[in-house]
Amino acid sequence: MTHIELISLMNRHKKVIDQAYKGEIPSHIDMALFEADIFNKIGDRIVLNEAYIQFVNTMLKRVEYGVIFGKYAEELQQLVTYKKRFLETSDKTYLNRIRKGIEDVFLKFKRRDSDISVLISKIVHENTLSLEVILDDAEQILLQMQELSKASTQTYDIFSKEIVGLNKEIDDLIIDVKIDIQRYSDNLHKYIHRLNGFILRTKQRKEQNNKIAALAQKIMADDTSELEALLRSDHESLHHTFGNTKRHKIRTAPSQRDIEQDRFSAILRQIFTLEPHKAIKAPQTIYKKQEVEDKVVLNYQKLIDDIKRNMPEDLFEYILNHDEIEKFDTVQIKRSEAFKAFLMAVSEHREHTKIDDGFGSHHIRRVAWI
Amino acid sequence: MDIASVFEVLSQGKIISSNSKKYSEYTRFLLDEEIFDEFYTAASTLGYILHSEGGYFYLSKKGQMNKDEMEAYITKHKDAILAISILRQLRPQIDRGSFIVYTDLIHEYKMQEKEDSSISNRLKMLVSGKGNVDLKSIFDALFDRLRKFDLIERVGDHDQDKYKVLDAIDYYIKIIELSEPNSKESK
Repeated sequence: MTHIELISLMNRHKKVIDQAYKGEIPSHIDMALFEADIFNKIGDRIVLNEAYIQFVNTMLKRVEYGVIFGKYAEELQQLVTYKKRFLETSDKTYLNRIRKGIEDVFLKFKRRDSDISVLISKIVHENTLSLEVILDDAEQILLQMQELSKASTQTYDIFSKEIVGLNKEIDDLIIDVKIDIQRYSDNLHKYIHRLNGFILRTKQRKEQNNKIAALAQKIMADDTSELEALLRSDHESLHHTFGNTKRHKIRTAPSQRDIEQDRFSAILRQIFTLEPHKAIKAPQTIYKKQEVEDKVVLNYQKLIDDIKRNMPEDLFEYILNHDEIEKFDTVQIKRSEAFKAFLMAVSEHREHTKIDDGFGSHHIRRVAWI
Repeated sequence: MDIASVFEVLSQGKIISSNSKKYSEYTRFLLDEEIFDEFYTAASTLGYILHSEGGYFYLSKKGQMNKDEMEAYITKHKDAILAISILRQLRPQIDRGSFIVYTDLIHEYKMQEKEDSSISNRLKMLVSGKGNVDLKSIFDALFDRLRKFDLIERVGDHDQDKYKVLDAIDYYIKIIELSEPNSKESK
């Protein structure tokens, strides 16, 4: 098979290979892929070729956490073995080997601390890989770090309990190294915390992306009733899209009264609707011209005084012909005013009146003043 | 800096993000609690509500919107969601504070459009017409819209290819989360 044929084969089966790279087991794998050794069968298990995975990881610049984390158990075991040998033989070569071993473990811790810090920054800021790959890497690193945290404690214990007490120089070295290992162990906890947070955020983002894709699909299919209902119901708390986007400016702001829609539309109607005014009719009331009227008033006291002085025999006749009654216009009024005065005089001065049986000239009983 | 200047910006329909360099002075101003309260009252008198949440500021309108306002408001939100869906498909992990590079995005788009025609449909719907015939003019239009939605901001004067994703992206993502509360994981 030539190189170009291999690339073509992989291109034809890219979905299956991609699935396997992401850790899923494809349901159907073409035999050609086994023949080209892209997939291998190990018993019943089907796996993607390890060489291919390494190649892809290198090309995609995926973090090589295996290199960073390394193994410690063997080295620690070696230290314990050297101690046994030293105790058996008292050969100082073993002491030198132990010192060298402690220094190596310490340097590994130191280098690993800075490597992990870089590694986490790298994965957190990874911008080109898919979220699935990033999540997978992050979870693997987290597992390794948790293992490492245990290893740190183990190393600390072995240094403090197993190796200590052999020689002052080594004891001093262990004290120095332990302080730093403690510091690196604290850092490791911080990295684990940071990575945990990152994994959680990435999972949320993955879910978010699914929601974004689902909603975008609905917008494309014009199936946005739910979104629109949400926007309509919550518009007072959501960003207002201001008017004419071409002008980008609002020259005037509506007043509070304008905002009240009913009123605002009423004002607009008033402005833009022209209704002919109805002619206003003049009121129907007819006003009379006011004329100056001379009020004629009867001076009753003067009349009584004259009556007392003249003592008429026919009181009504006298009153009717008196000057005070003469003031009035018509005969009717004269008679009416005279009669009222006559009745008043008779009723008020009964003791000065003598009522005759007979009637006078105006069919009114004759009354004489006495 | 005074309330009138801030109002002028916000009343253009802008969302001011705390991580925006261009509007950093405005953000500092609004972060003062007393000034914020004063502005809140002033905006309220004019018929608007000033909102400050998740590191961004914007105005909403009190009371009912008229038909045109409502239409513009819904269209803008839909378009912004489409734009974010394109961004997140091309760069699934971008978030507030992330950086995007114009040319990288075009490159990624070219890789993806062959596999998934829905992305080019969304892009066409968002920036249709106006002579957007080639990929560059389409992406120019997309970036222009992203800027107008206050989602991105160009970084530096010389490096014109790089953009920062602003805090305002969270505003739209919040709406998406509300609108799609139970979306199942796909893939």
